[in-house]
Amino acid sequence: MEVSISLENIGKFIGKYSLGRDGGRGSLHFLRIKIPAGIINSKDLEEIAELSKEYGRGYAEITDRQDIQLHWIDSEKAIEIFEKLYKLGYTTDLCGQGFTTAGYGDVRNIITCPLSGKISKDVAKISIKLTKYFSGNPEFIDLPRKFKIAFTACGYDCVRAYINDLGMIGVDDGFTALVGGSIGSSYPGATIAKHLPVFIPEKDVFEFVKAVVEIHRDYSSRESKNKARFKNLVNSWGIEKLLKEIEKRVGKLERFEKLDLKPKAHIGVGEQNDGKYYFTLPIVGGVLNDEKLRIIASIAKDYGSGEVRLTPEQNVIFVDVDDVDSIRKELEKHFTIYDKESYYLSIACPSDFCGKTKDVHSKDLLKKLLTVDGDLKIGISGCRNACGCHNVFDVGFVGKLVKRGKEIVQVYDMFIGGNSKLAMKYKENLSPDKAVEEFKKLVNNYRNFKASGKSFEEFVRWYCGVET
Amino acid sequence: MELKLKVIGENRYELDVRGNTCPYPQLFVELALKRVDGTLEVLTDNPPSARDIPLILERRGFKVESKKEDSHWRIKIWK
Ligand code: SF4
Repeated sequence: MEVSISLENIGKFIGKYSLGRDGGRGSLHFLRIKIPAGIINSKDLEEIAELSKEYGRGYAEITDRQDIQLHWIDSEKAIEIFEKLYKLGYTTDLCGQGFTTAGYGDVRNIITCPLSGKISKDVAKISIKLTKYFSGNPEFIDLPRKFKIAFTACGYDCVRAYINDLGMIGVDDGFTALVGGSIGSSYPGATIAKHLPVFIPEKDVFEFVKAVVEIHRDYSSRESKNKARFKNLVNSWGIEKLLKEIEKRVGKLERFEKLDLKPKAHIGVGEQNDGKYYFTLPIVGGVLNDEKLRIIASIAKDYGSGEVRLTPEQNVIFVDVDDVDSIRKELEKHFTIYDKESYYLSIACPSDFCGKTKDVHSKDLLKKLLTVDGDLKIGISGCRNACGCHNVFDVGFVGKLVKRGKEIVQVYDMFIGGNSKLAMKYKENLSPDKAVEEFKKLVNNYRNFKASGKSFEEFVRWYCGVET
Repeated sequence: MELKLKVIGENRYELDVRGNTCPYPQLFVELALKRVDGTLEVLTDNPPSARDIPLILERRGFKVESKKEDSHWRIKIWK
């Protein structure tokens, strides 16, 4: 016998909204708001600032997938918050990270070139269309595991396409694709995406992306969570078999072999195609608060078109700016505008909230490392899940907790030489102080090495004692 | 959309919310508790819900017992 109970107003939120699990700083839940293509206008930014103030102790963070994440969310207030987001037209990630089995995976926010349409072809449009299509779509909310997509067409890999399940790279009047990237520890381990050597005409790109996600849904392993990422399927099938399956769904695709893609982040100031300018504000670790969100919204309105772009490096880019000097002066009243590139290029995961690290947490370690002279790109993850991309940056650190005597202490493993390829592990079990010391040593050595005109890659091989 | 409560005995009900992530298991339990008297047994495979539901309900004065069964938890709530 059964008793039926109406879901009242909760039904409309299922599959579109959820809270994620926190376990640090006294926060039990986070809310990861998807900002489609990382583009947000000042009015919506103010609304999110209000949510952060009312429900998240005023804290807000830009993630490396261009979302805005709030913490300290009281689950008893969830419906109230979802209702407000629903009215604003935003959804959240479905955070099934707690489940121990395969399943309940969703398509995450689609990382998009933050200067899309400003210096290059507009890929934001298709990225937003796809985000809206997948979010809450009952056919795509029980994937074997999450699925990560990236879109760019600026001529560089500014979206870390090489570590996404599917990276769409603009070429000529369409796209080519990278498939099966993912740097977390799940089987078969950190994997750089492979080129799927086909050309996808612009008019077919929506169906192509949909077909690839369907293949993940239908064929990726559901045997265990560890084996359920798309990279495992791509590895076991190989590119030719995957291509055959895609073509079964979307028709024959023209071959496109040549792809020379260099990683590059959009930072600094530059001219847009329309003669206006963009201006990047560095946000260390993406950490903001409600007041700063409001300031950003107001400056975007006063000095640009009111639109801002969140970047995969956790920064903010103001677009459509007429007067670069004035916006810089205004921003300097509220923020530090660093000149050093590493402030713009480095990222760290929220391990302090995640609860997987003890003092010194990822973002705190990043702050310390950024004060060291030098311009290397740093990525810090609190654990092997690699949310801080430690294994694909110039220098990376990954945290672990180890027993020293009677105490459990925080240590970090150090990686060097990533950047669109996997970094090498250089040192293990460094205390946070030792990590800073090793980083200083590396920076000094690199400075001397660089003076002789050699590249960072050559330096890494020399420093790690690897034969060339 | 509806929730189904299985009657498993006299004044005993079972609510299977497996596959639901936060905050839904907690919200479903609250809806169910509004409707029935007696004992409610909740099945969840979402670890944060297994952490939160006993915490919140005990704070409100319910007697709660939680047990891990294979890959899910069975949370018994006495109303
Ligand atoms: S890398 Fe680990 S510690 Fe950092 S946010 Fe991801 S799961 Fe948490």
